Parts: sequence; structure tokens; C-alpha cells
Amino acid sequence: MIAKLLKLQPNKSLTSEEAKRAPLAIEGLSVSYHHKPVVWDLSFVAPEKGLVAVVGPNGAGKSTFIKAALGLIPKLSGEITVYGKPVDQQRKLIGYVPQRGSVDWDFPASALDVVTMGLYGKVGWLRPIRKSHKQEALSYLDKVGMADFADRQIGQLSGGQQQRVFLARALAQDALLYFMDEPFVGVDAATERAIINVLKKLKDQGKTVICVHHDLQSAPDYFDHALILNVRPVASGPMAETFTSENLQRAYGGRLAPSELSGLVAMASE
Amino acid sequence: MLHDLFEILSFQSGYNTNVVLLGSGLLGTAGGVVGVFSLLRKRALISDAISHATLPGITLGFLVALALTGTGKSLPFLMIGSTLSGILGVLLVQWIKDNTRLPEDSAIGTVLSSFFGLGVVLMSYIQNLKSGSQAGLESYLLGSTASMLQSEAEMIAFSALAITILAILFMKEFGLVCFDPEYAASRGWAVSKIDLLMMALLLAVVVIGLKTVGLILIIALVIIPPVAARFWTDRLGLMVSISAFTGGLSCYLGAALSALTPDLPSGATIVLTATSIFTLSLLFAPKRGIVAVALRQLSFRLKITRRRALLSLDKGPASLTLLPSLLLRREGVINSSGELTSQGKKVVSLMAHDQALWNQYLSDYPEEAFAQNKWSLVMITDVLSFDLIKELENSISGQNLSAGQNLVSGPLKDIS
Repeated sequence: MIAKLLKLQPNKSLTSEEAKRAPLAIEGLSVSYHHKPVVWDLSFVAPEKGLVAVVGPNGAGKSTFIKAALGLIPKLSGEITVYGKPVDQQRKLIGYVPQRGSVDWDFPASALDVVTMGLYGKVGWLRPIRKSHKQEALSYLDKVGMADFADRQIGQLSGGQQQRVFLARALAQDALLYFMDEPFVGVDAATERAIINVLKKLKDQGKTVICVHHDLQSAPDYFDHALILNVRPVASGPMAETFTSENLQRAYGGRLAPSELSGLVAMASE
Repeated sequence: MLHDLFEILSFQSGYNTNVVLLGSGLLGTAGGVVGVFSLLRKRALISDAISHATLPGITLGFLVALALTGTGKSLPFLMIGSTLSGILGVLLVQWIKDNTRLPEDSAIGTVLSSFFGLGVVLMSYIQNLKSGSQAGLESYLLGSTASMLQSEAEMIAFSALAITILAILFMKEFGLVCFDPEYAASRGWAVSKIDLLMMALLLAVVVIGLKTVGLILIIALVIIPPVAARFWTDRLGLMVSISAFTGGLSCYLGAALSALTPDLPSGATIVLTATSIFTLSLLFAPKRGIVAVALRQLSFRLKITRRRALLSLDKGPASLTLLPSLLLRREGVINSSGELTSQGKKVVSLMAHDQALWNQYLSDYPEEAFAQNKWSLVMITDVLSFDLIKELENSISGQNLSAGQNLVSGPLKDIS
């Protein structure tokens, strides 16, 4: 078992062929907040396509990991490449769905306005937004079942609808690699279905989604790979191999009851 | 008096006054446009730090000009001085925020008062000099368009126009960074550069506005127009336009009022004009104004009261409280002794049927019903399609057949 765990964190160099092809390759990433390490020596290579759940207890550094991978917060050490090149050169290939609570929803913008922001890169500096851009944005709102709400001020939407607007904005970029920060938190059933549909489509199109996920119960259903984190990486790989009771126990410690553990592992190995 | 005001407002009182009015109007427009973005970036108070931080710069600029040119009131020197010390103030706020545990508002308060204190000391030093030209310096505190030179007014007009055009050109980028800076960074936008440009435009508005509005009140120029505009619209583009208009109008009217009464500092008349527009917006804006909100609340209460009263009458004779019985009597549903009229019976059964359909909708399509914000507030036939209502009716009668007894069977029989 120990040998297997060690094998899950191999000392892959970012110059290897696998790392160059990988949508995301991370070597020795460490991040701290206020003199406290939050992510410690994380190495991870994302699968070439598929849905990766990033799971771990509260304060395990899941969101920090995503933000550091995106280059949004400074890192203490580590190398990050996206398809073999530094993140900054590959921004066009990356889509990001931040946590819903990260913005002011009273902002004077409609659902369509927010989705149009996903096209700003295409529009370019100082260029005005044209009707065709609005049309395109509307088609992405339609993909998450929100076309009827295009003109609604974003604060007038329910939490799940706001989440779908964020999702549509990320889709509008037409990226290859998506980062999502807890998209399922506090959403209604319709939104949950809409997000799952989008995830499936992205997977079918051969894209990679790296998604912070809170709910261990649903993780094996929705995702096919997992990265289990607790400040340090605990395990990563295909869901069935990764969601073992040893790994979850190591990440969550006493926070999971034994009965919960066995149930989760049974779900993952199905 | 009114005649004089009209003459001033219609640009009939001399070239100098006209240029001052135009410059003030453009300054207000620039403040309104730039203010929207500092408000949305949650940076409204930083403009107060900037403006107060300019005072030491103004006084030092005066002293340098006095030493070099013999007269202190040289606008370029004063502007360079105020710009530099404004920048220093902002940097200091940023430094305190980054390097201590103080929150931004405490940092702003500390920097603002310290710089202002220093400026006041330097100013009283200048007042005691025997140079003779120090008289105009205090106009930078509360603003004075009366003492403004034509060349100053022209410079203000051109700079304000340039600031406005720049801010509108960058509206898309500014909006993106104000709404979601982290997302903007993830897409590779130069967030810190965009932020810097927003800050530079804010600083520019403050510096060119010192003479007109004065450093104590200039914060009003970048806060009041955008918050007034927010009452009228939910769209960024419109908010920028309304805020620009509000700011421009306030400065134009305020400067005209000040020209009429030269003893009043123009800063005060401008701010009070802006405040009037703000108060009107607060009260009477169509959707977010206080009156509109209160009316909406009242109409909601009346609708609910009426519906609940009709539904309770459907279950048999009910004793209604004062408000619903008044409502229904006026409508002719009940007569003066509280009994249902023949027309009232129809209304009651129609309402019961409507409620039954809404209830069925809620159980058959819970999510759609939840998203439908008119649920049980209007007649269902006004909102849902005919086919869907037919389906709901079938589903109700289907339940009646299987369950035999059902709460909604009564009104349905009445209808059929």
C-alpha cells in the first residue's frame, strides 16, 4: 500500500513527454497565506481529457490550489505548465468558473452582459461589443438553460441561476482546460443537472475540467478522476483507484465516520 | 434674480463666465463617468484621501512658485504639487493596507487627516508671508469659480473632456475589472494596469476639480452622481450616461448659482445641486426609488389580501377583517351585510379554480413554479400557456378520479 501511495506522487519532471502533453502539469507547488502553508509540495499531472474532482476537508487548500494554478496568487515555489507552456502564455486555452460568492451581484449588469465578458478576449482591447457578440453570448446562456433570463439583472437571479451564468461565461471562451471552484455549492436541482450536462459535453469534446468539489457522496458519480488534498497531496488518479478508504482516511482523518467511508468507497469502485 | 440666473445659464453674460460654466459642466461630466467606476470598484472613499492629500502639495507648489517666479498663484505649479502629493497619499494608503493589519478605511482616515493637517500648517505659514498673492489659496478648500481665470477654465474644460473620452473608451475593460477582477486576471487582462488607469483618471478629476469644487467637497463630484444614477438603471452603460449627465448638470447649475452669488463658495452650490438630484432619484426613481418600492409593496399586500379573502369565502361564510371586507365590498363581491353577491360567487369560484391550478403547477413543475415570480399573484391564465393549463386541469381531474375526495373538487364542479 505504501509503495502504491508513493507511486501516486512520482517525481515527474515537467520536461517529460507526458507533462508536455498534459493540460496541466504541476511540480512541487507550495503556497502560503499569512505565513501559513496552505498547499505543500504538490505535484500533479492532469489527464489528457476528463473530469477531475479536487476533494479534501475544509482548509485543505483546494481553492488555493486552483488559484495558484491559474497564477492568480503568488506561489512560494513550484512549476506550472499548461500544455507544456507557462500559464501566462496559454490563457486563451483556460476557462475559469470562480466561486459564486466572489463578486458583488448588485453590479449593474444583466445575465447576458456577464456571459459577454467571456468573449471580451475575442473582442479585444477598446473594441466595442457588437450585436453578433451578444447573439453568441445568448447561445451560451441557452446551453445552460438560461436564455429566458438574459435581460434579468444578475442580482435578481437565484443562486443556482447565477452559477449557471458563470458557467455560460466560461463556456463562451471555448477553452480546452476548465477550472471550476465549487460550482455545485448551494444550487437547485435544475442547476445541478445543467452543470452535469455541461461537464459531460465538455468531456465528450475531449476537454479537461478540474473542479473543486465539496460533496464526497456525489464525486464518484460526476467525475472520473480525483485529486485528494489535505495541504499535501494525498492521492491522485482514476476515481476507482484513488477513492480508497485509506486515502480518504488520510485526508479527512477522524472527520469521516467509518460507515460513511465504506459507503463512499463502494460507490467509487462501481 | 431669476432673470439674471437665466442670462447666466443661457451663456449670455460674457465670455469668461461662459467658459467657466462650460468648464464646470465638463468637469462634472468627467467626475460622473470616472465616479461610476470608483464606486463599482468599491474605491469611492479613496478619492477623499486623494483630495485631502493634495493640500500639502498645493501649498508647497505655491512656495516653490513664489521662490522661482515671485508670485505664488501659478496654476501649473499648484497642479504639479497637488498631483504629486495626491499620488503620495494614494501610495501611502496602499502601503499601509499591504504592510499592516489596518483595513482600508482606517488607512484612508489616517492618511487623509495627516496630509490635511500638514497642509493647514503650511497654509497658515503662507498667510503670514508678506507676498501679497496668498489671498486666493483658500479658494482651493471650498472652490471658487468667481476668481477663476479664463485660461484656467479652458484648461479644466479640455482636461475634463479628455478624461471623459478616455474613461468611455475603456468602459468595457473597466467594467470587467470592477465586476470580477480575479476572473479578468485569469483571462490574462492586465488588471493592475487597468486599475492604475482608473486611479489616474480619478486623480486627474480631483486635481482639475480643486479650483471649482474645492478639496473638501470634491468627493461629492465622484460619489453623488453615480449613486444617484444607480437608482435609475441596472445597466452599466446607462448608469455611466446618467451619472455623467447628473454630474455635468450639477456643476453647470452650481457654478451658475455661484456666479449669481459670488460670496457663496461654488463647491457648496455644486454639491447642494447634486444633492437635490440625488434626493429626487432616491424618492422618485421608477424601480429602486423609495416611493416606487413602497407602492410595489402596497400593491403586493393588497393582491395577497384580496386573494386570501376570496379563497376563505370559497370555503364558506367567513368573517373578514376590515381591509379585505372593504376591498371586496368596493369590488361588489360582497354586499353591505357581508354576503356574497351573485357576481361575487363567480369571482370566488374563479379564484379558487385559479389557486387550484397554481397549486397543481407547484406540485407538477416545482422548479419552474419556484422560478416563476408571479406564482399565486396573478391569474394563471395571464402567465402560462393554454396547453399547459389544460394539462394541469387534466392532472387535477385525474387526481379527483383516483382519490375520490379532493380539496379542489368544489370549485371545479362550480366551473363545469
